[in-house]
This record gives sequence, structure tokens and C-alpha cells, in this order.
Amino acid sequence: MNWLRQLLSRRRMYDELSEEIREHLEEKTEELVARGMSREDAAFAARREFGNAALVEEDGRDVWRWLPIESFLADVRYGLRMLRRNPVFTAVGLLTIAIGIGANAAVFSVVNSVLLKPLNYPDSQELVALHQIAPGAAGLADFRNGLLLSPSMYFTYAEQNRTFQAVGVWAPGAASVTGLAEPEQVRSIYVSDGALQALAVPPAIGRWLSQADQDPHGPERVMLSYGYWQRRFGGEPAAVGRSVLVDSRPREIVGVMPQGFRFLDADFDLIAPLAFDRGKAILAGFGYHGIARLKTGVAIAQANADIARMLPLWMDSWSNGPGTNPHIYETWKITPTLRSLKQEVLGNVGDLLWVVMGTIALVMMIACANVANLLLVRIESRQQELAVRAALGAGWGRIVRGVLAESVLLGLMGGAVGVGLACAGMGCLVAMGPANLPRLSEISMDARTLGFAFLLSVLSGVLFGLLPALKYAGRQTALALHGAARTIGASLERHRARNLLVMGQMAMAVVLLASAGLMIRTFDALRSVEPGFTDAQHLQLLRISIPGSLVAEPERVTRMQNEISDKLRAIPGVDSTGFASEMPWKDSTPTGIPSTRRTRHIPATKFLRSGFTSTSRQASCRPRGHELLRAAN
Amino acid sequence: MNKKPKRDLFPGALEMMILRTLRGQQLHGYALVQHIKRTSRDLLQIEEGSLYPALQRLLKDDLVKAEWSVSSTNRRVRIYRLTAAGAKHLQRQVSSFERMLEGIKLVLAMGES
Repeated sequence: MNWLRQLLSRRRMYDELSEEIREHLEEKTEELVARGMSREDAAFAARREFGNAALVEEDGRDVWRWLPIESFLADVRYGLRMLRRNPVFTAVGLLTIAIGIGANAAVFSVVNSVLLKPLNYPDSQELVALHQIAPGAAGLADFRNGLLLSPSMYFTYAEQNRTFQAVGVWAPGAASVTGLAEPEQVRSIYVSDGALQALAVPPAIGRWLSQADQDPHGPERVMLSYGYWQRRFGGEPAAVGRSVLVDSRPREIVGVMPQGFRFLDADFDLIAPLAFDRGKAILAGFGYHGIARLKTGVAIAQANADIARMLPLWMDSWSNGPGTNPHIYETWKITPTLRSLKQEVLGNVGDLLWVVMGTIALVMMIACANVANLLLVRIESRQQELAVRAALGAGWGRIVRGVLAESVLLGLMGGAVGVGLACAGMGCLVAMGPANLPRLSEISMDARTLGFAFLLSVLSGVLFGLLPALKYAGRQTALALHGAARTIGASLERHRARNLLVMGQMAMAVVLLASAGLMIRTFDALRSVEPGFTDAQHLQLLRISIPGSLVAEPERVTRMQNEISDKLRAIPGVDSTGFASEMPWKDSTPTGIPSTRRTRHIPATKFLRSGFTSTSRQASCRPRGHELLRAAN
Repeated sequence: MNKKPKRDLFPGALEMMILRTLRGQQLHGYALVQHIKRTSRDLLQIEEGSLYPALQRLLKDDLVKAEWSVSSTNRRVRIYRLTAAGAKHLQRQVSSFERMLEGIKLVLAMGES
């Protein structure tokens, strides 16, 4: 408790020390006066004999202090006082830093959430996408998806593999749900057995779709997403076991996936079994994405070799029907190129994000240079003060620390404001929802981002504080003490650092400007791409599907479509209508030979055009259709 | 401005001399420094001020106690006196210093006997 008593009585100790020193000097002076010296000379002599009184007092006080912390606190207090005394400088510096750090923190949080954090599945490093390329199959295999899997491939891989814990295929789709409230088209994911097992995220309630649910002739089942469950069933646990009408067929709900679960990057409402009919499976039908979980310790190269081994087995085991040559696929040169699921989800957005990060880092550098410049100017006006402090015995390190404390404080305060800005910015980003940024929903301000912002604040504070601190601490002090020391040499010297800073800023700004200009040009070029149809703002798109389970005969489907089309055209202002299975400029999946999916989706799109003369039905499929044709070719 | 010529004594020497001076008498700072200067015949060139940080250190370690009183010249002064711990500390310091001095002397006198 001794230290506590000392701490409490410290103020008194300091006062006593000061008084003691004062008394000492007076006593000495008195004595010298008594010996016949003039009072003035005596006081001077007493001081000279005593040494640096301020320093002695400081040293005496230091005995009672916990030095490093206290001088640090003193520096902080001093820094705060300096910042308060110059509100304009502080505001400008703060804003500059806040913008810099805010932008950096926001972009970093995106980089962190999208690129750095592992996918939201247990042991996600074991997950791979069954990506394969087929250079010989032009048209069927595209650059992005490669050659997708066919049901027979899935069966082969699932049954013959040696490297996977679980393997499955999936495809996105849409389904109509009726009988709940209003009829609704929902996003659905169709999975084979093994897909959910590979992802290994247990359901929130109920159970997974199991192998039994994949029976094409058995009862039909479905799982819900958490969001859909909340939206349509009010989060009622009794929903499990109930039936919903999916594409006019009753399906039993067996489980609900947990909140935040996403199927790769797809948002979905329902997960339904693909229920392949093994008896009807043929070689073709390359329409499914494959995912798998590698056995522990298996490398992607081994899995690639495993699949390469299974491809001949696949061709031997299945056929495309009598009279076809199953080994025709050898000419396709199907090659497995598995990649981690993360890579699959991210695509090439990584490069882009790092470029953005680099750009933003440049902005930060400019901000730092700016504030460093401000500090330089300000510290110049404080030279006299620094000189006085140095003359009073402040060491070089102490002055540097003081200036740094001020700049780091500025950096930290800027960082705090910046994190606020970043939060707001991220809110905007997520709200805008850029379509091709994966894992958007996972973007958040987490500890790592906060740590990054903190580090950046301190670092930038040191960075822009160090230059002025080193430049002015303990130098030119004698000069400055005399006041006006504006010789040409000094002012040249003084301007060199600032010139360098300005030059650096200019250089970085030019780089930024050039890249921004290029980006705007690219954007502009994209905007002026000829889409193949004109007057886009007068086109309306509807999606409808007539479930095969409801209307089986193709003729009736066509008749219904015609009726719908006629009714739509009867609406005033509608000029022409048409149906299409795919939209131009939309991602389309080449499926080859139609799959054995039970529910047949006929995604139908209609172009409605208003306020113009009607064209014939045939042409209305593609208003100003020749252009569309040309674009498609 | 610079702290270089603080003292040419080794660390602890000033404290030792203060403790020794306070053994047998109670003095205030000014008298203490005059006494040390006089006794050492001013050979040591002690800056008067350097006494005070040393006194603070001794106070902190409870080797001396201080009390305010009024001097004979009617001056408010802080009188220092040795504590029991201070006396013991002094003894230890002096004996270790003497041993050190003995050693140094032996080395310096090498080859002269």
C-alpha cells in the first residue's frame, strides 16, 4: 500500500520539493549578499551553483513517478491540448484521415469478408467444386462453368470415387408455391444425395434430405431456407411435417436450414431433391454443378487423378441409347480441374478486390502526405515553443514523442470517425448489392477489420508525424530561440520536405486519376454496347412457369401461353408480347439433352412493348428482332 | 539543455555521503550540501541541485525522514534525519564501497611494492 500512499501524497511531495528548492536558492542568495555581493549577482551565482533548477525539480519528481506511463500520459494530454487549441487544423486533419481510414477500413472489411475469411461451412478447406473442362465440346462447356456434370457422371463419381467423403450435384431453379398465401415463384436449389452432406451444415430444425428422399417414385419432400420459413410459416417449428404445394404437387417439409446458410453463393427459398431416375440416366445431360468434400488429407491433385480414372468407367457403364458410341466423349477431352469451393464462389473477384484495395491504399498515402504537410506547416509555427522546451531541458526523444503523440492521437481520432464512415459505407454497399460480388451478405465489420483500422490509424499517425518531428526536434533550436531566423538557407531547407510531399502526392494523384479515367472509359464503353434490342426502358419482363405436373401435354402448355399472351396484349398500352426460354444478357446454362427432372420448368419471358405499333406474334419474340439475332450470333 | 555533466560520481555515492552526513545530525538540504562541500574540501564539485533528486530517492526508500521546521535564521526548512533502515543501508554501502576501493587500490598499486 506504500505506492498508493505515495500516489495520493504526490502532489504534496512535489510542492514540498519546489518549496525546498526555492528556500535553498534564497538561503544561498542571502548568504552571498551577506558576504557583500549585490542581490542581483548573488541570485545569479546561487542559480549557477545550483544547476538547472527545473531539471533538478523534474528529476526529483521523476523519483516518485512510474516514468514511462506518466510521461506518455503527459504527452497525450499535451497532444490533446495542442489539437484543441487549433480546431481548424484538427478538423481538417481529422476529416482527411477519417476519409482515408474509412475508405480503407470499408474496402478491407470487404476483402476480409469476401477473400480472407473461410467459407461458412465446417472445415470448408475440404470442399471442392467438381469443375471439369472439355476443350473438344465447344458450345456445351463454357469458360465459367466448364463442363457440368450429367446424372450418370454423378452416379459414377458417387459410387466409384476413392477420395471424397461426400459428393453431390445441384442445380438452381425456380418453383411455384401455391396454396400458402398468394402464389409465389420461389428460388429453389435442387440437390442430389451428398450435396448437403458435403456442405455438412446441419439443419436448424428437422432433418436433411436423405437418400430415401431421392427416390423418383417415393414421396416428395422439401427443405426450407430460414428466411422462407420465417416469412411464410412465421418461424413455426410445426411447419416441419406439413405439406406445401410446389409446382402443384404436395411436398412434405422435412427440415429448415439454419439462418445465414447459403448454398455456395446462392440465396434460395427451397431445397428439393433432384431424384434422378437411375434407370433412365444416360451419358449426356451435362447440367449439374458438382460439389464434394475431400477425405482428410487428400489434395486436389489426387482428387483430379481419381476423377480422371473414373471417366472411362463412366463411358463404359452408361450409354446414350442403342446405336450410340459411348466413347464419343473421348474426343471431348474431358479433364477434371477441381477447385476449392471458395475459389468457385469467388471467381476472379479476388484480383479486382486487391486492385481496389491498392487504389484505396494510395488514397490513404495521399491523405497521410496531406496531413504531414499540414503538420509541417504548423510545427514550423511552433519552432519557438519547441526551442524553449529544448532549452528547458527536454531531450530530443521527448520532443519527438510529443509531436508523435499529437499525430498519433489525430490518427486515432480520425480512425474512430473513419470506422463510423466505413460502417455507413458498408451499409450502403450491402444495400446497393452489386450483383457480381460474392458473399455480399457476409460482409461485416469484425474484430479483424477493427484491428486493421486501429493499426492503420497508429501507423499513419506515426508516418505523418515522424517527418515533422524528426525535422524540427532538437534542430535549429538556438536559431529559433532568437526569434526571426529566416535566412534563405533555412527556408529552402524548410521547403524541401514540403516540396517532396507535394510531389509525392501529385504523383499518386496522377496514378489514381489515370486509373479512374480508364475505369470510367470501360464503364462508358460497357454502357454503349449494342444490346441487340432498342428502347429497353419500354420492355417489361415477366417470368411464369406452367408446371408439368399440372399441365402435362405440350399442346395445352402452348395453348395456355397463347391465352396468357392474348390477355396481356389486351391491356391498354401493351403493344406486343412474346415468350422466350432464355433472356438475352442473362446467364444461361447449356443443359444439352433435357434432364430427367420430374417437374418441367418452362421459364417464359415476355417482352411487352407499349406505345408503338403492333408487330406480328412471331417477330414479337424479339422486338426489332433482327438485331437480337445478330447479337446472339 | 543536455544532461551530461550531472555528476562525476558513481551512482549511489551522493546518497552514501548524504546518509553519512545525516548520521549523528539532522540537517536541511542547504546545510547538508554546504557540509558535504566543506568536508570534501570542494574536491567533488557537486552541483548543489543534484542533492535534491538524491534526497527524494532516499525519502522514497524510507532511508531518511523529513520534517518541516523553522531554522535559527527564521527560515522554513525541511530537516532530514536518518532512519534505522537508513543507518543499516549506510553500513552496508560503506563496507561494500570500502571493499571496492581496496580492490581498486590494489590494482593501481600493482608492481609498486
